Amino acid sequence: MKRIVTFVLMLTMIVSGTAVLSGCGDTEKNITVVVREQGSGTREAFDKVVTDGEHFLEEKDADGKKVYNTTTDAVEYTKTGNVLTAVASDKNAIGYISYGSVNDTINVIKVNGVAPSEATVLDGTYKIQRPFVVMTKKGLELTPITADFMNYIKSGNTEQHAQDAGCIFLSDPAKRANEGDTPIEVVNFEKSETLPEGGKIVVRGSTSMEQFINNVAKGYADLYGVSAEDIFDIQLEGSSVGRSAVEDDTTGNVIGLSSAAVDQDDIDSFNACLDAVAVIVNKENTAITDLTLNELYDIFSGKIKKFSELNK
Amino acid sequence: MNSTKFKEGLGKAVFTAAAIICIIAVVSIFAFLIIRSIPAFSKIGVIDFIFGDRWSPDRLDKYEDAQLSGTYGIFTMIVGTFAATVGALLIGGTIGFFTAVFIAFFCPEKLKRPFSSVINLLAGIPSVVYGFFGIVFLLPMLANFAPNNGSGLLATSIILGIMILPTVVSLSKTSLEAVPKAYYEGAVATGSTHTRAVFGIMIPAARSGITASLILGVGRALGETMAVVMVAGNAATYPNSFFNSFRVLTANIVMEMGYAGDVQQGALIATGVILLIFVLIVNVIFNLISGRAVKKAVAVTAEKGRTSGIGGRGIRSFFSNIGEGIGALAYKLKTDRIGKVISILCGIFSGIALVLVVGFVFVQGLPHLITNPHLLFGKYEFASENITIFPAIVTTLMAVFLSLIIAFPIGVMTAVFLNEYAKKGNLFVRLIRGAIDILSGVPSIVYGLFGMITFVRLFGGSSSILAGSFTISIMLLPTIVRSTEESLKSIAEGRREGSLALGAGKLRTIFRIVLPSAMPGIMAALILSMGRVISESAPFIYTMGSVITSTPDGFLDSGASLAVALYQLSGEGWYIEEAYATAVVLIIVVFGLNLLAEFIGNRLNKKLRGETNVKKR
Amino acid sequence: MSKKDNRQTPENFGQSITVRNADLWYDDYQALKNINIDIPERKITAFIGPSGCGKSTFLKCFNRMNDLIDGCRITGSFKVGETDIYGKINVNELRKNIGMVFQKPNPFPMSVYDNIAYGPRTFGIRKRSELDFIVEDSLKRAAMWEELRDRLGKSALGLSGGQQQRLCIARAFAVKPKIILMDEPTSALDPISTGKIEELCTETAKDTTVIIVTHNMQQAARISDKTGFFLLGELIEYGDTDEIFTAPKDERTERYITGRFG
Repeated sequence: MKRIVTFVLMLTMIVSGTAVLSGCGDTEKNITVVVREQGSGTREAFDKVVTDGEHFLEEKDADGKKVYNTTTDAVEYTKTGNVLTAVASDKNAIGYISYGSVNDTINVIKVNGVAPSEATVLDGTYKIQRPFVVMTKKGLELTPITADFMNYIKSGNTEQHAQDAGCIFLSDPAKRANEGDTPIEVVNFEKSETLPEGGKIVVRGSTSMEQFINNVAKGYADLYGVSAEDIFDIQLEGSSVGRSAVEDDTTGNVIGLSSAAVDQDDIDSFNACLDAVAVIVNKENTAITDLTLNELYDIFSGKIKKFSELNK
Repeated sequence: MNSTKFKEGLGKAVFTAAAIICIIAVVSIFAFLIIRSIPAFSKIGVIDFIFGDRWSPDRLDKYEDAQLSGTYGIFTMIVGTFAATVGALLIGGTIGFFTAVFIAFFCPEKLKRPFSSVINLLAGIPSVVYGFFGIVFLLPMLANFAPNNGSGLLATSIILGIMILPTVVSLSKTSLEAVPKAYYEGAVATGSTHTRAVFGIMIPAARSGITASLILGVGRALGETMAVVMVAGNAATYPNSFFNSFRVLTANIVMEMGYAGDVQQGALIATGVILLIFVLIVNVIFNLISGRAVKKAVAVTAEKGRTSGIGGRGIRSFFSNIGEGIGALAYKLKTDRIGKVISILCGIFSGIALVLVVGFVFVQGLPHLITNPHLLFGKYEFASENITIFPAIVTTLMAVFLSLIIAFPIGVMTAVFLNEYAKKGNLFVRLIRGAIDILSGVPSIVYGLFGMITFVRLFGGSSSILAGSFTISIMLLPTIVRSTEESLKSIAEGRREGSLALGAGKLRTIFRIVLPSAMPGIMAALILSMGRVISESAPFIYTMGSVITSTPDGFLDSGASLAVALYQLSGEGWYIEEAYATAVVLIIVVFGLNLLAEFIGNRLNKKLRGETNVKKR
Repeated sequence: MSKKDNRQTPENFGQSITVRNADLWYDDYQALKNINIDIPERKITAFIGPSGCGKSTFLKCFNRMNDLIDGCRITGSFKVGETDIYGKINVNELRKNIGMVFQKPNPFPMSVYDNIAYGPRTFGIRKRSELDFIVEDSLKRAAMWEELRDRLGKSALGLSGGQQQRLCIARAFAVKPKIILMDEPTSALDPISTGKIEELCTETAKDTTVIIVTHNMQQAARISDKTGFFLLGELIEYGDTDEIFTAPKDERTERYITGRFG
C-alpha cells in the first residue's frame, strides 16, 4: 500500500513538474517540420510543387540524380495519422496531409492566399494537388464483374462518393486522361439485372485513396444489394504496390490505385478525382494562416528555423 | 529390449532434428536475403551503399536502367541504429537489471508476485502503443527543454529502454532466484549485510542468466521497428545530438517497403542484410568489451590475474563473460548502501513506467470500448464509422494457435537436446547455440522480409495466416529454447540420476522426470511466446496481411492480427479512439494470459511438491 | 557511514554461551521448548539427537540465522559472554564473531582466494597485502595451505567435497570468530575428510568455542567435551561427554546412544 502511495506521489510530481516547465518556456522554439517518407505519393505531390522559384524540394540535379532539399531536421512519418498526431501535439509543428484526411484537431492554412477547396483545386489556384488514378492492365479482358465495377467508377455515380471522401470529382474529360492522351468521358452506369459473375474484385494501391475506394465499393455493392465485403478484396499498401499488382494481373480482376500520375504503356489509367495536399499547423498556432510557396520552401528546406523569422 | 533401444534412438534422432531446424532457419534467412539483395548491391555498389550518407531513393529506378536517378546510402542509419541500441541498453539494461535485483531481493514478499506480473505486462504491450505513448506523452514532455519537438535519440532510447525492461527483468530475476540459497546463508553467516550478500555473492553467481537477459534486450532494441518509427524522427541523417531527427535501419525498411520499386526494394532487402550483419558485429563488439571487463574484474578480485572461472559453467555461452563485468560492478557497489537504494529506485521507476503507459492507454481507450461494444463483435461495414476488430481477433487466435503448434515442439525439443543429449563444447552444439543467438538477434522486420520472399511465395503468392505463422514461428524459437533450457538447467542432477538408477531409459527420464520438473519454466516460455505473437506487428504486415475488414475463412486467407489492426487504425488518423480501445483489448488479453499462466504454474507446482498435502493431514 | 551506529558493538564478545528459558515457534508449531544451557568457552560442545529434534534450529539461534525464516519467533534469554544477542546489537557483527559451517559445503561460485577474502572484505579490509596474509593464515589454520597454495585463483567449485567443507571452515576463520557453529559438517563427507575436520575441530577449540551438531555419536564421543541430547524440541540431558556416554541419567538418552531408539 505504501508503495502504491509512493507511485501516485511520484506520478503527481512528474506531471506537475512538466506543467511548471512548460509554463516557463518563453523563448520561441524552432519549427518542427513534419513530412512523409520519400516515396510517398503525398510527399511527391508536395515536393514537386513547393519552390522558391529556383529549386524545388524534390528535383533532379545535373547528373539526373534525384535530390531532396528537405531539411534534415524534418521528422518523417509513414502514415497520415502519425503526421496528424505529431502536428496536433506540437505548437511549433507544420506538416501536410491529404485534404480528405483533415479533421478538427489541426488548422489548415492557405497557400499563396488560397485555401484548399473544390473550386480552388479545380481551377488550379490551389497549387498543391495531385490526381487519384484508377488503373487496370492494358489489353487484358476484365472479368464481367470487374468490368462492370470499372464502369461504375467511371460514371457520375462516383461524384458523391468522392465528395464524401473529401476529394474532388473530375468531370472534365481532358483532365481525366494524362496530358496529350485521348480524353476520357464520364460514362453512364447502367445496372445489370443481376450481379455479374467473376468472383472477388481485387483492389491494391495507394493508402491515400482508402476512403474514396471504400465509398465507391460500398455504393456499388449497395446497388446490387450485396455486402461489399463479399465481392471486394481491398488491401492498400502504397501506390507502387498497386502498379505492380496491375502489371502482374493475369486473371483480369485486379484494379490498381495510385495517388500520383501514372504514364505507363502497359497500364490503362484514368484520373478519377483530384486531391489537395493541405498544409496543416497546430490549433494553437493562430498566427500562421497563410504562407506562400516560397515561404513553404524556406521552412521545409530549413532556411527559416522560427515562425517569427517570417516577415509577418 | 530392442524396441527400447529403437525408441531411445528414435527419440534422440527427433530431438536432434529439432535442433537442426534451428540451424536451417538461420542459414535460409541469410541465404534468401543475400541472394535477393545481390542485384541491388552490385547495381548501387557495396561501398556506396554502406558508407554513402545520402538516401534519396527513386521508386521508378529499374535494374535495367543505365543510370539510377536515386541515391542509396545507409551509413547514417547504421550510425543511428547503433546509437539507439546503446542508448536503450544504458537506460533499459541498467534499470532492468536493478529492477530484477529489487524484485528478487529487496521487494516485500507480498508485493513480489504482483510486481513481477506487472513487469511482464509491460512485455505484452505492443510496440505501436509504446510509439503512440511516445508521441503523445514523452515527446511533448521532452519538448519543454528540447530545441525541437522532442523526437530524436533521447526519446528513442527512453522508449526502447522501457521496451526492453521486461525482457531484462524477467530473465535476470529468474536466474537470480535460481541461485542456491546456501550461498546467501553462507554470506550472511560470515557477517555480510543483506545488501552485500546480494551484490557480492548472489549477483555474480547469476551472471550467466543476467548476460542472457541483456543479449535478449539488445536483440529487442535492435529489432524494434514500429515504436522507433514514431519517435526517432526518421530523417536520413546522423543522430548528432539528443534531439534531432534520425533514422534506424529497421525504420528504413518498414517505411518504404510499401512503395518501393525494383531497385529500391532491392536496396531495402540489402538494408535487411546489413542489419543482420550489424547484429553479428554488435554481438562481437559486445563480446570484446565484456572480455576486457572480465580481465579487469579478475585483476581486481583474484590474485596475480588468475582467472576466476566458474567451473566451466556458462563459459560455453558466447557472451556469458559480460557477467564478470557485472561482477566487477557489483564488487564496487557491494560495500555501500548505494546498491540497495539504486535497486529500489529502479524498481519504482519500472512500476511508474508501467503505470504511465498502461494508465495512459486505458484512460484513452476504455471509455470508447465500453460505450461501443460493436468494436469487439460487430461486422465490418465498408466506408462506415463503425469499425470492428472482430476479424482481427479471429486472425490473432488462429495465428497464435498455428505458430505455437509449429514452434513449441521444435523449441522445447531443441532445448532438451542441448541440455540432455549434447556434449558440451561439441562443434555441432556450438553451431546450434550460435544459431539460436543469431535468431534471437534477428530484427522482427527482417523476419517479415524473409517471410515475404519465402513463405508468402510458398503458400500461394499472397499473404496468408499460414505464411505469417511460419514467419513468427522461427522468431519464437530462441525465446522458447532459452527459457526451457534455463529451467532444465536448474533441475538438480540427482533427479535424473535417481531415475536412471532405477533402470529408466533416457527417454523415459526426460518425459517423466525432467520435463515435468521444468514445467513452470516451459509454461513461462509458452506464455512469452503467446504474448509475442499477439503483440508483434512488423513481421506480419508483409506476410499475414494488413486488412482489418474481413474475417478469415481458413489458414490460407489473409488478415490483420490485433497489433497490426492497431497499427492500421492508429496510422489513419480517423480512428484514434478505436485504436486505443484496441490497445486496451490487447493489454487485457495479455494480462489475462499472465494470470492464467500463473494459475497453471501454481497448480503444477503444488502437484509436483505433493508433500504439502501430506503435511496438512 | 554518516549514520553512527549506537548499538552495542560487542568488541569484547565473550566465548561462553548462556541460554535461559528459550522457546522457539515456527508460526504455531513449537520447535524448541524451554531450553536452559551453559556452554563453556574454548571447548567443543556437541548436540546429538534424532532428525527433527531441534538441535540444528537451536544452533542457528546463536548467530540468529533463524531471523531469515518467516514466522519464526524466539523468546527467552541468549547471552554470549555478557551480551544479550537478541538485544540491541549489530547482527552482522554478531555473525562475524560467531562463524558457521553448514551441513552441505557451500563455497561461493568464485575463486578459492575470493571465497576466503569475502569475509574480510565485508569488514572493510581492502589492502592486497593484508588480504594475502589473511588468506594464507586462514588456509594454514585449516591445514589446507599446502594443497591449495597453487590453486588460489581456481574456482572453489572445482574442489572435492571434503576440501570444499574445509574451505568453508577456513572462510569462517578469516573473520576471526570467537565461536564457531558447525551444523553436521561431516555428514556429506567420506571418513578421511571427516577425520581431517575432526582434527581441525580439536585444533580450533584451543582458542575458540566450537559447537557441533552431529548425527554421528562416535564423533561426538571422540571430539566433544560436553554433549547435549535433544528430543522433540527438548534438551533432555546435558553434561560432560564422558558421563553422557557412559552413565546417562535419563533413560531416553541411554536408549538413543545405545541405538535402541524408535
